[in-house]
Amino acid sequence: MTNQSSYVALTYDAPTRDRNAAVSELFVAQHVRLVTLAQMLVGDVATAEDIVQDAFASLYRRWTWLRDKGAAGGYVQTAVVNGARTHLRKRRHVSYVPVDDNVQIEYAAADADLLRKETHRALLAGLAQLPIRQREVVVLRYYLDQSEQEIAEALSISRGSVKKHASRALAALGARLEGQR
Amino acid sequence: MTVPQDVETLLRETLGEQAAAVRSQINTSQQLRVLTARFPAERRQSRARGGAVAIAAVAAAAAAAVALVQLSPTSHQQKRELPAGRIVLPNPAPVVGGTRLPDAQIGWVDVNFTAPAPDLVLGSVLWVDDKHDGTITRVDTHNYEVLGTRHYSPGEQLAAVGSMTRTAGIVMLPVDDTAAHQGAAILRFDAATGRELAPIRVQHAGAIVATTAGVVAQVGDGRVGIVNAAAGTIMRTFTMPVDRQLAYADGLVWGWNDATSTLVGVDPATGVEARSMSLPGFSDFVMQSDGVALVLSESQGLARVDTRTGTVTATSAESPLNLSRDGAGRLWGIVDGTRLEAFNPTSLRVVRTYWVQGLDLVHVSGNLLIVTDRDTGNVVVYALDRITGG
Repeated sequence: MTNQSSYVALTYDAPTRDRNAAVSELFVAQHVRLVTLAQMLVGDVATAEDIVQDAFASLYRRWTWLRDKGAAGGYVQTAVVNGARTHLRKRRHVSYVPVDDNVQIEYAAADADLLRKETHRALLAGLAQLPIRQREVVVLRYYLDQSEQEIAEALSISRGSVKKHASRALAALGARLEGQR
Repeated sequence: MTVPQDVETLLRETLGEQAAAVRSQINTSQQLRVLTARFPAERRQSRARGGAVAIAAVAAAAAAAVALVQLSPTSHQQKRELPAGRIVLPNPAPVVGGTRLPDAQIGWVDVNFTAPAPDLVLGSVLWVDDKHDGTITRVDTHNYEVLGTRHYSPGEQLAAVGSMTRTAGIVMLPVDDTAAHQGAAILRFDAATGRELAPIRVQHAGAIVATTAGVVAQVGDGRVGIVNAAAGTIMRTFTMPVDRQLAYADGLVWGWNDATSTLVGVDPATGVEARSMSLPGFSDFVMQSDGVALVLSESQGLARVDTRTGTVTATSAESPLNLSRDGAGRLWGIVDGTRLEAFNPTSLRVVRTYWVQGLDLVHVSGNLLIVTDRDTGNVVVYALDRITGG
């Protein structure tokens, strides 16, 4: 029986094979990271997976015209962030609530652990209330550990704007934590 | 264990935990199979696009002569329902290569908006609705000075906010905060002074459109009403599907039924459903009327639907966040935050593309082309004739 990969190898020409293999390889390498990134921006895994699928489909379509194939990772990350932003702007409500309210806090846990969980929930709820651009900066900075320069390039904004968004976001999140205490 | 005080440390810790929880739900192998199954179709599309760019002139001519897809030949004067099923759409109109945006900026609004929407220009006053901060700001378009700002307080930023609509000297803005138990209302403002008037309380608010029978607005779940803007009352209500938007074309109010993917036209004078058409894969994220046809969002971009004949006459692979019509009939939109594009309203062919950075929504009024800049939160105003060259 012919499996999918041998079918591809037998049927498609060399450039197509190369494109299939290159995009698939990049997908396997980046999928978990990008779905997690998208989930942090839009709030649910199913939507995040759709956004990542569309980003790779877009990369596949444009592969032939991509001069620097080494830049494909950056291209697809930008496509994911843009896709998440478009999705959020298409929603009726301005923000979302990514916290699963059905998750019950384990009250049997030690007080410190309980407090830590509550703090994390408060931070995630605060993150969900941030304007989209601030949320993007926070996730790229504190989840992907990207530098200001890298974030500026990924979002096509200036380093000054990255600083401004990060500063405002931290102030808002800090105020939310203070209010919780 | 003590809880760290540093917000940055807490953020890293929280997002790390969140990532671990998400990872357990991801199946990369299964998702790779989904992606590779899309490859043949994506390859065909990329070939088509490449060809379209290479032979833009030929493709443009072909687009003009694109065959209509007849959904149903029935008369538009009677209620008719078009069968659900797969619709064969015309090929997407070609996209032209972009150029740099000319130096046409004539002003900007020096306000630190968060999510501005330049919905309305009345005379020389630009009305900007910040849907995140819950403010309406009025700006003089002669000098771009702020004339006044009013807070409408959407609560915990969960309000669904419609577009500002003007009629009979009254500006109306639907705000629905029922998710946060704050209620829904159609806010009213004096168009000349910006003074806030008594709101019209409704069950649900969102979509609103001006028609010859008066302003029609959502007042409940699956219910719209004819609004007496001056008196601040709802004169009459009727049921019709309503999702994000309402539009007015061919004498009917059009609403979208998202559950059945159906576009429904209702006579606002009688409240009777006159037409409906099944459009799988469509949505009313964009719903722009030219009086006869509607340009709607479709899963791959945009589609133009003739409301009289029930035909999809053109499609585009471009997905702008909104559309705004200029005096020449062109539809302007911003795609992916990077391209300001003008569409031919009939063929949906992109007739102009300008490279931009971080732009969002566009609104055209007279010679003003107003865009929102989501990087700075500013609203920037361009002279349309300087962009198009005349």
